[in-house]
Amino acid sequence: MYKRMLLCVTSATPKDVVETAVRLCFKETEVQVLHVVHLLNDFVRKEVSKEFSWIIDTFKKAGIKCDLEIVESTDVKNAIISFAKKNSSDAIVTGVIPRKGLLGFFSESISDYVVKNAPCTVILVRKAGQLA
Amino acid sequence: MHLSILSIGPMLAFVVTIYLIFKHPTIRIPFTKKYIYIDYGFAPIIGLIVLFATFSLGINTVTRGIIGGAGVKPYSIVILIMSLSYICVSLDFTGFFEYLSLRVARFSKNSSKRLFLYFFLLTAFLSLFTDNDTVILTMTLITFYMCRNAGINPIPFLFAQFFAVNIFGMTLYIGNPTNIVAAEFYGLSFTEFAKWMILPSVVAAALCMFLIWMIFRRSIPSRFKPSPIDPSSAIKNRSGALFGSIVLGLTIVFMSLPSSLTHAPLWGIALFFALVMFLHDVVAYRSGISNISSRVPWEIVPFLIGLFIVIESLASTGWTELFGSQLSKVSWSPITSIFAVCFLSSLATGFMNNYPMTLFFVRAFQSSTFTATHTAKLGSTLALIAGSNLGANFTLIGALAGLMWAKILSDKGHPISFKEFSKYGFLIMPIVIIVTCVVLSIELMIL
Repeated sequence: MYKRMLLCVTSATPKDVVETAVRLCFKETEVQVLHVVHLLNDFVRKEVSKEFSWIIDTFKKAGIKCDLEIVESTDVKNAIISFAKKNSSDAIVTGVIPRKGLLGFFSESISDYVVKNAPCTVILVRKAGQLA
Repeated sequence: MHLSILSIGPMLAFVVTIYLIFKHPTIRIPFTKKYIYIDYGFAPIIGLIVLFATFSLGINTVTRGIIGGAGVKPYSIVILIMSLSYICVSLDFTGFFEYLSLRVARFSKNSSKRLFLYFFLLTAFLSLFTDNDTVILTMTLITFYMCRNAGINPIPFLFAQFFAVNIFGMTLYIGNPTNIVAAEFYGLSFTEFAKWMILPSVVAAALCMFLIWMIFRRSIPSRFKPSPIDPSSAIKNRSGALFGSIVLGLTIVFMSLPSSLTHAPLWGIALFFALVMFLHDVVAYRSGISNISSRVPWEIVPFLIGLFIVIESLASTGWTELFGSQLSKVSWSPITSIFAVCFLSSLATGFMNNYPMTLFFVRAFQSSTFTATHTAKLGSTLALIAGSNLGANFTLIGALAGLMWAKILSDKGHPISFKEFSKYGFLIMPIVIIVTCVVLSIELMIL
């Protein structure tokens, strides 16, 4: 079990990823839900808080301490690594979308970068049957 | 100059560079646990290593790639592009572009048709003087927020914006870095550029918007549920936004003045205003300046310099002369050259990215084997500018912004495949390109 978990989310993060993260926690685990935005202003802060309130509620219902962290950066992959290092995270949980075709071949994989550069355990969660 | 066995190395380096521009792999350093991320800025450096390994990299090639020759200075192009980037990044950081988008969204009241039109026009306006990445990042996110709150499908809006960005990018000299490269090689000034390209851009954009509307009209409801928006909540630094817009406005004004008045090259003007903006940012943000500088696309510096050298090696081994001689066969009149170059360059952009395509074409235009008339050469340059912008709408790999756009859509839960995007690209763009070529041909005959 992990003391300090970092859950990376986007608008496409499925419920399965959040539920898996909940199952990996115990009561004392502190979860930081991280969303990286291009520009952080009052408008974006309000919209993002509204958008991810269901994730915070899911953790709170399970009795787990959880905070939404909104980070401003144009480089998502490095923002995740820096955040994990700065906050001494024990584990990074992130969803993964296996992509096929030409675009899949050329698409940058943030989860792949996180696996290779993270200072801690990385847990990749793939929704069953998901293929974009 | 004929091709020889020595010509294989530069072509191999060119192909490797293009592949890495798209692929950007993470490579493990042998005997260590460290990884290097090969981003697009690093790609031409690997190309240079291939050139070196195949004994195709001479000191003359490197010098010509950086210092340039025949009136063209690659370093000045890099300074110009980076200076304009800094001004736009700094202005973007204040929240100014998001503020504009929200204000425009509010004007549409609750009419989806108006929202579609206004977003198209705003994207067009922003892409006139900012880089495509900034416009796409800002507009795509605002579109998602707006459509989610209004309960409407964002896809038609996103397609319209992406196509508008690439079409209006060809209007002004500073709309796209590839414009600067092509214009510098031919010697087109800021005002000359605008004189030739404004009309084709407006006509192409109007036609494109009509076609997109026809395709998606059934998925756009006539009205949507209004949600309270406060545009001022997007502004992070009000005085910075005002200062930044004045600086950007002055940069455009001074760049459009004749050089006999300013007594300064375009890159000098852009650099001066970028420094003014930087000094303002140092005073205004202090520790926050690192946040702004981290947003500047520094990768463009090694990317362009490396690409200039790779293209220079292709030129010195006969590839651009070979291509130039082939282009001459279809450039026997200004009209044929416009159609041939515009279609060839836009298709090449769709499959090899607009930067390497533009550099390769302009070096071919400079070669002694490209024997078109003066008017046909001007037509070819204008067609190349159009092709490098319009071609980015054929496929998602036509410009680096395409891959970024696809990534944002995927992160927002609306993944789009290469095939699906290209389906719309190949349906709309050939018609738009034909009309653009017709307008360019008429301009060339009349003016």
